[in-house]
Amino acid sequence: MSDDSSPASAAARIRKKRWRLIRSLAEDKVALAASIFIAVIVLAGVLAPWLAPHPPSEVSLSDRLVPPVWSGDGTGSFVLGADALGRDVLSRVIYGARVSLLVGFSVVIVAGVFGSAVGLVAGYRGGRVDTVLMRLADAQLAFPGLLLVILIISVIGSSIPVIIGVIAIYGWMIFARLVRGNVLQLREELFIRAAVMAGCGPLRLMRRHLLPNLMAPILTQAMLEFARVILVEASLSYLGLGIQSPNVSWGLMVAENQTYLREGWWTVFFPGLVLAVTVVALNLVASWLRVRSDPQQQQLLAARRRVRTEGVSA
Amino acid sequence: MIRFLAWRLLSGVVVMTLVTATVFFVTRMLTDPVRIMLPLSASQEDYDRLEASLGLDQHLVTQFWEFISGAVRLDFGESFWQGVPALEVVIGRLPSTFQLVSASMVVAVVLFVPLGMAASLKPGGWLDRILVSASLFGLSMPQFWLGSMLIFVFSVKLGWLPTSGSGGPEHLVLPAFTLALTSGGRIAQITRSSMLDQLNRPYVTTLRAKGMGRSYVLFRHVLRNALLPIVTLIAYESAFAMAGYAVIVETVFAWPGIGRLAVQAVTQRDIVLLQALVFVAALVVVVVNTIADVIYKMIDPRVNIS
Repeated sequence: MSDDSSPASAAARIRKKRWRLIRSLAEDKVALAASIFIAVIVLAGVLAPWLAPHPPSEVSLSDRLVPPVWSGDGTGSFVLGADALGRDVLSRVIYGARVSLLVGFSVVIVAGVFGSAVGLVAGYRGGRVDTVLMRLADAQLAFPGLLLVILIISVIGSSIPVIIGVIAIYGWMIFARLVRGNVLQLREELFIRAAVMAGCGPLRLMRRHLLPNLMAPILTQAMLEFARVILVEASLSYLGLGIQSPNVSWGLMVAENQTYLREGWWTVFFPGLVLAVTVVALNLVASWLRVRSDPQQQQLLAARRRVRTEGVSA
Repeated sequence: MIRFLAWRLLSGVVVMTLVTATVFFVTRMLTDPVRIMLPLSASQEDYDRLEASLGLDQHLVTQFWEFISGAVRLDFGESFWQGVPALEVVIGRLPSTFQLVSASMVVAVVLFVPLGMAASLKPGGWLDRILVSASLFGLSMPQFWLGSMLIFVFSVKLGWLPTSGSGGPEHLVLPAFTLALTSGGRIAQITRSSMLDQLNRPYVTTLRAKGMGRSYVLFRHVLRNALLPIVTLIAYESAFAMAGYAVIVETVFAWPGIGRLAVQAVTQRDIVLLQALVFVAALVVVVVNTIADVIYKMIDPRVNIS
């Protein structure tokens, strides 16, 4: 570590680090495309009321099952066509992004914070606390809870907070296991032992020394979980157990339009396509992040780059 | 072996007790099941009658005892919707789900285990790279969407296969492929990494140096040693699919299995049936996991399970 600790140079260091991150993203074409797609989806979700050409629930029976604009009979006001009630598919896909992002973010934050805290405590304390907490996580991980989730939702009714809650209950374990494993490794590191010997208390140790080193794996896992969560939300909504009309969800759109597959494939195709591509993109960014934050992989990449730029003439 | 079986049995009992307690808590404490089952227009008299017939007017402790002893006898009461014992309804649907899951696992194994093997022979080669991205796409595909698209292409456009329902083997093709394509990526990946792990061991070099043929070493030694994680994953995926995780595929194709029954029970507000479903699903998983452990022990003497 540098011993220059003036605030100005610290800010410069952070800027430099950030710049390097962006440059390495630009080098990986696939990850770049994936992050651009995610940015578009986030923007669409946030700006939905301004971007969507129609209100999402605007019914227009004279426009029912209008095909997409490029298919001859299509019109410019329904770019991706209209569904069986004459609602604009594009506008509904844009509004659907809102729900997916809202549920995804909330679950990842709730499950991530809770799971990481459990993992931190289990890994740091060890002993009986560790055994009990991890047995609990393992048991829940091995138990197929889907039918239990269906039972809970059917009993207390379906709303966005309920959906976030039940998905989070089934998401914390993965963070707990990840963080615990990393803490167990970190505990043996010299700098941690030095901090303990210097009289660093447990809270300060976790906050100042453990957590910063855990951020990269947690962030990667959060990306993967985000992808999984929006898939689960869409699936629950498809089954009629998730988001309810008049709210819009990609899964709900597919369910609503499935009987019109023959007359209007676009009503089913586009919401599912956007969902699938979003999930793929999140996975791609997560795997880029993992490679990026792994020093061993970094060395490998740097070596490969050297070979490419300097040639093998040496 | 006997000690191992006894231990597994005990942990199975613990899991089932926890499940039963959770179900009891969810259905009695979080809600009033009588209110859920009755239509809104029901009178107080109807309410009292149904409450008494379900035994819900008793003290909670008595109720819990009744519930536990009922579960032990596999008696969950009558399905509100069908008017026959709930367990019968659930068991009636098990064969359909079993059929679907086994068909899809056969498809997945036949398609993806050889693919994973081929990819592992040349890591970083073109087949390997295709496999990595294809399995990512498979895992990211929403089952309800993939299923709908398969229906659109093969039933609506080409007219080769029925859109949904059950009956002859032709009804099984699309649902089995939908399930196999979305879980196949994991099977291919685990095959690849497990094979790679084995291929780098010294015994492979030794066998090759002794002059044994490439494919002989590959199939007789490497594959057999690489099999354990693959079988683990297949057992795990089958158990979950049997326990209701095939619900999406069953709903898309109107396949009369466990998962679809759960969705129907929700629509019919049949809590008794849902309770029986959760219990049976948990039981299936415990049994499948135990069987899988016994199989490991048989195919691999290195496994020390206790």
